Amino acid sequence: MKHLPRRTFLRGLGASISLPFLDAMLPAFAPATPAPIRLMYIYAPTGMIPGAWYPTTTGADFEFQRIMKPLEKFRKDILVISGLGDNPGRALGDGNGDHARAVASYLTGAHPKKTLGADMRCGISVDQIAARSLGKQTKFASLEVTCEDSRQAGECDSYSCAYQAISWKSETQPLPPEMNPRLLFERLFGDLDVSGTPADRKNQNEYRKSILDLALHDTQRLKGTLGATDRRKLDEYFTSVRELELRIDKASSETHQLPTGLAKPDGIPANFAEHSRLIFDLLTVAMQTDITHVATFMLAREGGVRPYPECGVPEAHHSISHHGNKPELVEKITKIQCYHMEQFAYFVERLGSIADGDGSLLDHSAIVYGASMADPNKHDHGRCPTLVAGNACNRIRSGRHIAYPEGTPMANFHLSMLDIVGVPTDRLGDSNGELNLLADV
Amino acid sequence: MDRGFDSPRLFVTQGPHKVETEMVVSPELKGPKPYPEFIQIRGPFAQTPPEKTASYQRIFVCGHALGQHTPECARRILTPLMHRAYRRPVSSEELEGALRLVRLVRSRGDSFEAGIRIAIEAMLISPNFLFRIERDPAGESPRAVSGVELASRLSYFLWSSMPDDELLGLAEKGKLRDPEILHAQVRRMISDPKGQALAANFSGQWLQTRNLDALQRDATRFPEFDAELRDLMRTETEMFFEAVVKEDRSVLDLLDGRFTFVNELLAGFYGIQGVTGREFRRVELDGHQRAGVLTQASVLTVSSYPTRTSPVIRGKWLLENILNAPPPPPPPDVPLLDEKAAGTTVSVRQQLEQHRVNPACAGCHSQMDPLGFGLENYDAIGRWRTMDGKFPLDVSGVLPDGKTFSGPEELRAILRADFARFVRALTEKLLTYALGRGLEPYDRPAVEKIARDVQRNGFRFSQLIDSTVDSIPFRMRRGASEGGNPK
Repeated sequence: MKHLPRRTFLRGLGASISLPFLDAMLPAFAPATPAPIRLMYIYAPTGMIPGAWYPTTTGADFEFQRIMKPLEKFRKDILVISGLGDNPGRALGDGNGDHARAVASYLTGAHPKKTLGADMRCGISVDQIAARSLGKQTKFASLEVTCEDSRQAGECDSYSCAYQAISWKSETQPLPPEMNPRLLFERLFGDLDVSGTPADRKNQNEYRKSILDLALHDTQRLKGTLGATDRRKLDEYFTSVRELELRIDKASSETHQLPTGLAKPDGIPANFAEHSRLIFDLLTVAMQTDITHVATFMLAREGGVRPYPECGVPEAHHSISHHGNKPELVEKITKIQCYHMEQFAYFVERLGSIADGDGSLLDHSAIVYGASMADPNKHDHGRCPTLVAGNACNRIRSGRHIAYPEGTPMANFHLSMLDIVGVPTDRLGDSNGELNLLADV
Repeated sequence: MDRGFDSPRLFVTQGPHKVETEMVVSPELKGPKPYPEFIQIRGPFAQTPPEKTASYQRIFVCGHALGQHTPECARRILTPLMHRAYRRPVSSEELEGALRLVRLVRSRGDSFEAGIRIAIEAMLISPNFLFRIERDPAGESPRAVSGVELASRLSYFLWSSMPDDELLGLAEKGKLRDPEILHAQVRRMISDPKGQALAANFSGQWLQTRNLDALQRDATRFPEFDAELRDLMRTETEMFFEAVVKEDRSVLDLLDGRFTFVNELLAGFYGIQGVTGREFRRVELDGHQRAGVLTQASVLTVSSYPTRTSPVIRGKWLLENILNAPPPPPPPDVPLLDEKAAGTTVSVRQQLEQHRVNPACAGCHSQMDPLGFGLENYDAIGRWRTMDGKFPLDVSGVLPDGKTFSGPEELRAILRADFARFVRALTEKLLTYALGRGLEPYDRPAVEKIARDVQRNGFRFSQLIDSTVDSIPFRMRRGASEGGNPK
């Protein structure tokens, strides 16, 4: 709405923090440290046709069904999990709005408060808990990206549109994803300003810190004079400014370099495959150069109306998702789900091809791919299709399909992922335990 | 890099420009079709020296050339800038913070201009600039917003931007308390070029036409729907809305005003004769096929599916935006229309009628679908048609209150006759926009008063704006105990 463009001033400052180029050879002589684990969540919107997803057997020799077929060549790196349920995504007395709830509850395990107003509330998401710890070593604590804009004001599926985010920094602060590859690029690499002497750059950093100090000072002075809602907004602003300041500190000691072959994207490709692969490329580079270790990617809007003529489906995604078990509609929605998966398989392949320490980037990652509904026709929150690519430095025993009792809270799975990335956490949303089979090495 | 082609030099003004290419290919050409591989734009060739640029002259008000400033200049430069940026009087402590930055930069050996740049950067990320601050002193109950707060409310409402010097000056002198001065300012702001922001932003949000950018159409069925056509559609609606505002027309013209704005391409799309060139111009309409916003291609497109029209979505759109009666969302597990059959073995209308046999569906669909049937003469990108696939269209409908109609003209007449509902819907949407927050039950008396004023005063758009500006929610804050006025 009206105040949104003002964010660009903040982003502008973030992007204009130039990254000092030190000796590009330096990492080769740096002391060996264990490879960091990268944690990513790729959200497939608007459900998944269960029959084309779930393997019929558990254990190591499961058969890859149609949607998952493009991942078969990475069999040893894939763990398929069934039985997880997104219970807080159900109505629980709140009536309509399954799609909105599916998004907000997916990584938080929390039942979002039904509102169109400023009093929204959900829960902190698993990626953000990880980002709090893992983000201490990286320029960005986390990245949130998408291929379909969700930053609309107003009402989305009976809920405030602000709920259209899977990443939640706190129970009141959803993180809107970036969809423009060019803006994402600029955020990651800044203006790559290599001009000027080291002394110039030192001055620039100091000026920027002084600017931020003044902003923090202004914020503190204002706080006492404001009402509760405005005060909370100001707090969130304060945190963002603090993070910028920390990022400037880190930028002084980091050696990011633009990998060869990656050019600045021009804008937003209309073709979904091109768009999503561009974003996957940028994520790959961000992970490779340790700009961040945590990311979430909403492939498209949950319950969105994007058509996919690229894979032979000119109809709106959501409208055919209520397929009424008509074979030709089931076929169409399956096609979209296969098409999404093909792009993900591209990403897995990219990560597998990039050397990282003693293995590949894929070996040091855990990338969760899944949906927060099974059959979209029924808004089935009961068994969320879930798989993990990459074995997170051998902390996940991949290459098999494991089944939990149906309705096992998705949040239990989130807790086990936090364990795996070294951020043990007691509770998240509706969790009532952890999945210990996961790390059964 | 010229590759042997002409490289004409042009003088272009600052701002966005559209570049088009045309390739004239000989019919004898064999082989694959040529296409432009790239377009290179270079320049500027003659740069204005920095101190001659308008922005330099507006910032460095003490009039010295680059490198010639004295330390005292900093205060003269930053005082008016900070005043504008924060949209209120500035304290000496705040100014001192910015001046300290200039001194820091100078002490590191960087230039005075660099110091001013750093100070401006600091202003632009200060919460005083980024947020519209309205103070809620602890313990204070509802209160009138202050003069400078009112100035900001007005300027973000009418201009989507900060107050200018005139408005802010009046506010600081306490003059906005005078209703005559206040309303003179409102009129001045509406006629100012910046008043275009209200037309573009409000119409885009109310009519949802700003969603056009994100919409796609099935390219095999609608090959003509491209980025350009989409822009033209939106431009038409914005210019139409702006005309209603600036000419102070009746708000009911939004429903059935018999004029619009088109250029050659859009006129061709509508089948309007005699318009040439890229420039938009006003055309009068006979009111049969088109009149008002409901029959503009922008609205008809945002309320359709990528592949076909949806009487349900259009009906819902009308209920939400024109009739102020949004239906509840559908339950899960509803059966869908057979997309393949639509228009081939059975019409969309026949399918929907089967759907309404189910009493669980009929409750809402008997309200939505008939309204949508009345707009079935327009396809999913708003073109006039008389067939749905191979079926002749049936554009008649019966509304829940028993009123019957056939076609868009009669539907429009019914909507217009129900002007009280429309005025209320428009009032709610405009008040929401003006406040930047959703309406609450306690805002209802204000909405009713505004709607009543509008009806009593010939439905003038200016009355709608004046009464909105005079309304209690626009003039008051609820105070700290209520958590403030969410922005």
